[in-house]
This record gives sequence, structure tokens and C-alpha cells, in this order.
Amino acid sequence: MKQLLFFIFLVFILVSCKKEKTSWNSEWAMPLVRDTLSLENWYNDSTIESTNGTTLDLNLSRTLLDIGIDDLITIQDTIITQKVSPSFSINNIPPGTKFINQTEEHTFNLDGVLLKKVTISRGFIKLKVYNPLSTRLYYTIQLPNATKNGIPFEQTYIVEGGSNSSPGTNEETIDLSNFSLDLRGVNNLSFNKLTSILSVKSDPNGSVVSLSTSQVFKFDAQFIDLAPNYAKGYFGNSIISDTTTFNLNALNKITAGNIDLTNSSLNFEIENGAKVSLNAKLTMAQNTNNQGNTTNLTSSNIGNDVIISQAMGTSSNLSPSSKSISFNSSNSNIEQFLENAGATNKIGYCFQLNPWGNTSGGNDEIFSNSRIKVKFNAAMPLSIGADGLTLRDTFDINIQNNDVKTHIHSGAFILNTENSFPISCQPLLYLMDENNFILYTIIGDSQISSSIQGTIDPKDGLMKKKSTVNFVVDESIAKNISAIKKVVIETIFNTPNASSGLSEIQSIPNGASLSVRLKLKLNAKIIT
Amino acid sequence: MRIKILVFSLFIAFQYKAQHWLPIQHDTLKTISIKKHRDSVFKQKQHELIFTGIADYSSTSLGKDIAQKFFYGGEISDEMKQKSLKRHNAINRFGSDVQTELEYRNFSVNLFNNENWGFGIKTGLYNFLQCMYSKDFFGFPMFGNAIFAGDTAIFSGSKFSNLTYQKFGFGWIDKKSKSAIYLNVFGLNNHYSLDIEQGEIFQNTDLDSIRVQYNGQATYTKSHNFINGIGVGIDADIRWNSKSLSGKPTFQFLMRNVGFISQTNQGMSYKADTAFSFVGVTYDQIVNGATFNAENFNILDSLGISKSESKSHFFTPGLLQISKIVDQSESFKNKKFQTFYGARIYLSNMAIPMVFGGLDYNPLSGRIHFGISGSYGGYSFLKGGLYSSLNIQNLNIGLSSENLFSKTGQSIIFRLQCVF
Repeated sequence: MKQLLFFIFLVFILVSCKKEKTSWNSEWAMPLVRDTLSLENWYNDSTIESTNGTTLDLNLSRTLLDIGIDDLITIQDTIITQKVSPSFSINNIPPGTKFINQTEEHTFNLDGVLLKKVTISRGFIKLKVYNPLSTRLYYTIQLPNATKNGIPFEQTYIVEGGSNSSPGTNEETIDLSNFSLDLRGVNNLSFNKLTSILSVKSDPNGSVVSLSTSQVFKFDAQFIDLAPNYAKGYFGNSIISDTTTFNLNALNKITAGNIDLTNSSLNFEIENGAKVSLNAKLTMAQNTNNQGNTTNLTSSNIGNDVIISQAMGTSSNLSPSSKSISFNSSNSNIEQFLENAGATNKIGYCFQLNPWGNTSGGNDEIFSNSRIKVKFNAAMPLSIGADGLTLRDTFDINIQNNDVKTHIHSGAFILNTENSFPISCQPLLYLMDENNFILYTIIGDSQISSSIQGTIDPKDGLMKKKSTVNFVVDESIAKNISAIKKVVIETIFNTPNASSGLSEIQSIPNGASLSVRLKLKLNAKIIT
Repeated sequence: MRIKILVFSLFIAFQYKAQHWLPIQHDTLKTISIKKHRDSVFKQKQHELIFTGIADYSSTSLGKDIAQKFFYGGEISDEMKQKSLKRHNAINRFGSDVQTELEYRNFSVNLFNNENWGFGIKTGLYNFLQCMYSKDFFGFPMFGNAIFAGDTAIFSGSKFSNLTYQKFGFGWIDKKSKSAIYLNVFGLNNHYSLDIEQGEIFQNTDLDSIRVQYNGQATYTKSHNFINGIGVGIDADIRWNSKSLSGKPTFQFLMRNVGFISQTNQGMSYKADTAFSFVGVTYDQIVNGATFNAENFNILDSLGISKSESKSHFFTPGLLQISKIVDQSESFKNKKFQTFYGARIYLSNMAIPMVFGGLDYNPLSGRIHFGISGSYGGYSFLKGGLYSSLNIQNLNIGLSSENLFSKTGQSIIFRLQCVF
């Protein structure tokens, strides 16, 4: 009984020691973001320049197509075989006697391309020779029109003896890089033809040999992965046609509203770096915005053939020729096209080599540095009218706020700005759960005002306006912040007139920037 | 058996409810004395068991209402924080001493064949927490940094130390004077320390710029082992009569927990001597995610804090005390009032020397004592205390507080002695 009472006493003491958590409230503040944002923060392959010194112009360039010799000239893997059988039987051929020496022409199938000459940048030849005799023989393979530094290709192999049914063999793979192939054949007038010479002699240190008409002396030459860096001939009149799609992701964040642009132009430049005539046309230009609205660029220039003459010069002084297809407000619906703010853009094009056939007499040329390009260029003054233009971006968050541990009680994001853009902005935040259900909406208590509502800064002569926007995270949001998995930032842009407040086109001044200071204030409950 | 159960139970209670029983004493509890009357009153009593529990904290500035919340839990209100903040000066101190100790004294054996010498053994669990700190060291965590807008929060010179260890000691006892000297072995449980030589946080008025400058070191026991270090130390309790002074007063020199401890397991140490400013991340850093998401990003490196592991050695926070104590011997048995006074030094640079004094009231010829005390120094300023002591047959029960009326500390000391 005493032990039981003692045990109960101990348990009582231990349980009574359970300590409540210590807690207190405190207020914290910290800077989060500090930067001055100019247009440089938002462009990559475009240039923004000022032609008049006061306002800005946008010059957006993109290369839609860039192809070269690898894309135009393709040499398929090819095997050439040269076989020789004696016309009559010969006996007692002494050692070291050449008894076969035969020249043969082989044809490469190049799908309508007729090549006179080609230089190989990379590739291999795999040679295999067969000896039907029972004694050792010396095989010499020559490709007199395949030269490197002026020296013809020649390989000699010693092949051990075999039989007609199971000949002795020898094989080797040789790098063909930098070899030049003259494909004009034996008479120098053909195309796609390669000449080979096979010679066979008996072993100088062997015994006498005998030949019969049933014996076959041969070699196989397999050309593998040949890639040219120079080609001459007739490149055919094949058609290259495709539709390329490119995305302007920044525009994908526009979810509502309109923009208004002026004096815009769009230019497609087709550049020909090969010495071959080219026929080109744009088959379509289309963009689709975030709301799913699709606009086609309509103009007489769409589908219109343009002939681009061949490039001039040689590899070292190549001068490409080019032609432009321009779209402006007088020949197209370019402003409507651009104001659609399409994030997904499709451009269709079509090229044909040698549209009039082999008019060069097989003297088309293409070099390693020859490129055929389609470039896209949009130029417009940075004058923009925004009327409720709405950008929306989403990012994931994962904040744990456990009531039994130190946690956030409430807080506020405070945004201080100084704006020299003539654009106002109303920001708001949607806080969503993992199923994209909006749990809370935090509306900034004011807007980032347009610079035209401010005053001129004598330092740089720009109109500037300071604004402070508070985003209050109240107690209920803080309490439930663990459930918030996504934050959508929505910003509604307008370009208001200073007096009427109605949106109208505003020019972006040279040197405009948005100075941003974002800080966080928290009321935290510290629990230890 | 009942006594054993009671003693053991209280010992357990002290270990687990230490926050209810607070700190140190000047040993004014004059208990059952055998020093001159062993032949008469306790002739056949050859053993003495002493249980002591101390729970004491004191501060120059920190309100006990806040300290109690840390000990017992609960919400610290804004009013409590404001009151404490008003009490804070440029330099502030806080000290806490929580310990339980069980001592056995044997008077029946003759140590080293000397009939005047006995022996004793003791064991205990000790926790010392001490802190010397700036006003902002309190204000910053309590109120947050928002109140420091346009101001500099200064932490320079702040120090903090917390030490928990066990002790086992064997000692020599003089049977006549009851003086004792113990040689102790310490077993370190944990040790935390913080030393900020220079520490400042400046924030501009808009709170969108923070500049931090610091030079300091923090260490803690990394291992979760029960014993993380060993040490040795000395306790001494020397008592003597000053026959040259009128009334032949009894004096006591007390030395407790004086020694050092060496860590046997690696402790973690963080050092920094750096300064940095933070005004927020830039647009590029956000877009490129290069600020905090980079694979090689290390928060300590970015703040200029180096981390290392080492075994450290340190002195235990002992105390030295000399005092004139209340004499309960036969010749003073019927004396109604006695004074006591003395001085105490904590072996720490976070405390200042303390002086104390008081008056003992003995209304029933030694069966019961009451006392009142006052002190100045230590980890606090002026403190007042009370005590009472009751003798019942072979038992003496004493209850004391050195700090009963202060707004910045509390103290309770319990002692139970029995002879058999």
C-alpha cells in the first residue's frame, strides 16, 4: 500500500510539472525587394532605343529559320563493291606478279542532286577485301578522285589465303575528314560518280599461284556518315516548307483588357548565303492570345513569291543576298495583328531551290558558312494605350504557420514606388488552395499611379509619381496561411489622360523606370 | 522509512518542479548542532542527512512577472514588457540558480584514525543560468525590430551562459566545528554560452534597410549524451568562533562549486566578425532564383558565420561567502535576537559582489527561528528576505527566501536535516 501511495505521489508530482508554453507578441519588419526597374529588365532579344531622344522605340528581332549545307545536301550511307574474276585460267603465276588491275565507276544516289565535287567535313570509309586463293595476296585499292591535300586515296592490304567459298578477308575503317571527292567520273563530265581501281598481286615471298575463272577478287567500300562542308553541282529544285511556332511568354500573362499601338511595322528578311537561286514565300502569319483569340496577318504579301538571287563570292568573302517582305498599316492589318498581343505565334514559309531548274550548268555552290535564314523584325514606337490591360502570374508558396509554435498573427506587404512610366497599375493578390480555389483576395489599398499624375523631377526632366500600396494580411488569412498553396498576382494597367482619366496612347519616355521598395511587416506571436 | 520516502520524494520534486523553488542562501539556517553538545543531546546520533533545495533567480531589470512566464508558462502581456523595459539600463544582469543536493555526514567513523574527523558524501544536480545584457537585448526579441525604426539596436557586451551538471563529492568533516571540505567530481549535462563583443542592428526610418554588425561567439553542447564532460571542484564550509570579539560570534567561510569542467564530447561553436547590409533582393535575383535557391547557397556563409566543433574547458560558476552566522549552541539557546551579516562573491564576471545582513529571532529557546534579511548585489540590487526554521526531535526543517519583495526576482530555499 505504501508503495502504491508513493507511486501515485510521484505521478502527481510529475504531471503537475507540465508547463504551459511561454508566448508574447512582437512586431517585425524587413525589406524584401529593392530595385529600379527599367525596360531593360523585360527584353532579351529586342532592342529599345530612342530615335528622337525623348521617347523610346521597340525593335524586336527573331531568327525564325537558319539552315546550312547539312540541311540542304545529304549523302546517304552508300556501299560500292568492285568484283573481278579472271577471264581465263592461268597457272604458275610467279611470286610478286600483279595479275589484276581494274578501274570501275560507282554512282551515289543523291535524290535529284547532281554533285560534281564535295568536300567531307566528317565521315568514314569502311574497306573490306576478299581473297579466294589459298595463298597470301597483296590488294591495293585506289580512289584516284578522292584526295586529301592533293594526294589520292590508296590503301594496300595483305590478305591471308582462303577459298572461293570462304575467302580470306581484311578490313579497316578510315577517317575521310577533309577528303575532297571529285564525282565527275572517269571522263570528268558526269555527276555523282566515284572511280576506284583494284589491283591484286601474288605474295613476293610466296609460292607460284594459279587462277581460275570461278574465283572472285573483290572489295567493299562502305561510306558512313558523310557530312559535306562544301558542295558543287546542281542542288535540285526541292521544296522546303514548314510552319514554325514561337512563344512570347510575357504576353501569355495578359488575361484581359486592350492595348493600342501606333505606327507599327513587321518585316521578314530572307537571306540566301548559298550560290543557288531561291524562291521564297510566307504562307501564313498567325497569333493567338491568352484568351484564345486568333488573328491572321492579312496582306497581299502573304503567299507572294519572292526570288532571292544566289550569294556572291567564295567561302572567305561570301556575300549573301537577301529580300524583305514588309507589312505595315498600309498593306496589312499589322496593328490589329500586334494588338491581339498573341503569345503563340505561327509563321509558315516555303522555299524552292533552283526554281527555273539547272540553269547554272551544275555550278551551284554551297560553303560551310552558307546559311539560309528567315528573320523577323518588328519595329514600333513605344507608345502604348492600355485600357484595363490585365496581366496575371501565378507562383507556388508553402508557408507553415502553426498556432502552437511561433507564428504570424497578422501582417502587411508595403510597396513603395516611384513611377516614371505613364502607366498606372492596380495590383491585387488571389490566394488559392492546391485545387486553385480562391480562398482570399487581397486588394492593394491604392494603385501605383501613372507618372502623368506626378511632377517633373528636375534632375532628369521626367514626370514621376510616388505611391504606397498596402496589402494587408489579416488575422484570418494568417491563421489559414498553411492552406494557401498558390498566389496569383494580377495587375491591371491603364494609360490615363492626366485630366480626363480616360485611357489613351502614351509614349514611354526615354529613361523611364519604376523604383520599387517592397517590405514586410509582421505581427508575430513568439512561442517558446 | 517514512523519512526516507519523504526525502526521496522531495528530491524528485525538486528535480522536476525546480521552477517553483528558487535560489541561493547565506546559510543562516542554524540547524541541529552537535558541535559542542554531541555528548549530551545527540550522543547516540552518529549520522546526519541533509537535503537542500535552492531555487533562486534575480535580476537588475527583468520583471519577475516575465520570468515567471518563462518558468511556468503563459502569455507575456504588453504591459509586463513595458514595465520591464522601463527598469532596464544600459547594462543589466540576470542570474538563476536551481539545484538540489543531498548530503550524508558520518560522525561515527574516525577518518584517518582521528577521532575528531568524520566523512561525508554528497550528490546533487545543478543549473546555473546567468546573463549580462544590454537594454536592446531584451527589447529586440520582446518587441520586435519594428520599434527600432531609425534607431540602432545595440547588443554589444551581452553575455549569456547556462550550465547544467551533476556532482558527486567525498569530504572530510570536523566533528567539533562541523566544518567540511569536499572534493567533487562533476558530470556535465549541457552547456550553452553566447558572447557578443560587438553587435548592432541599424534600421532606417522606413524599415527598408537593415545594417548588421557583429562580432561574437556562441557555443553549445552538441551531443545528446547524458554526460558530455567531466570536471573536479571543491566545496568548503569552514566555521570558527572568534573568541577575541565580544560575544564570541561564529563565522563561516563557504566555498561552493568552485572548479572546472572539461568537455569530453565535441561542442558546436559559431563565430562571426562581420558586417552586412540588406535592402532587399533585386528583380534579377528573383527572376533567376539565384538568391536563396542556389544549390551552394549557405546561409551561414552569406552571413559571415563560421562553424566549428571543439572541446572546451570552463570554470564552474561557484561562489565564495564569508559571514557571521546565527549561533544556536547551548550558550545562545535562550538569546532572543542575533544578527548575521556577510559578503558573497560569485565567480563570474556577470555578477557583482553582494553584501547581506539580517536579524534572527528565537522565541522558543531554539525550537523555532524567524529571521529577516537584506542584501545588495549579485545579479540584482537591493533584496529583502525572510526565513523560518523549526526543530522537531531529530529533524530540522528550514524554509528561506533571500528575495521576497523584489519585482525582479524570487528565491526559495528549503533545507531538511535529520540526525540519527
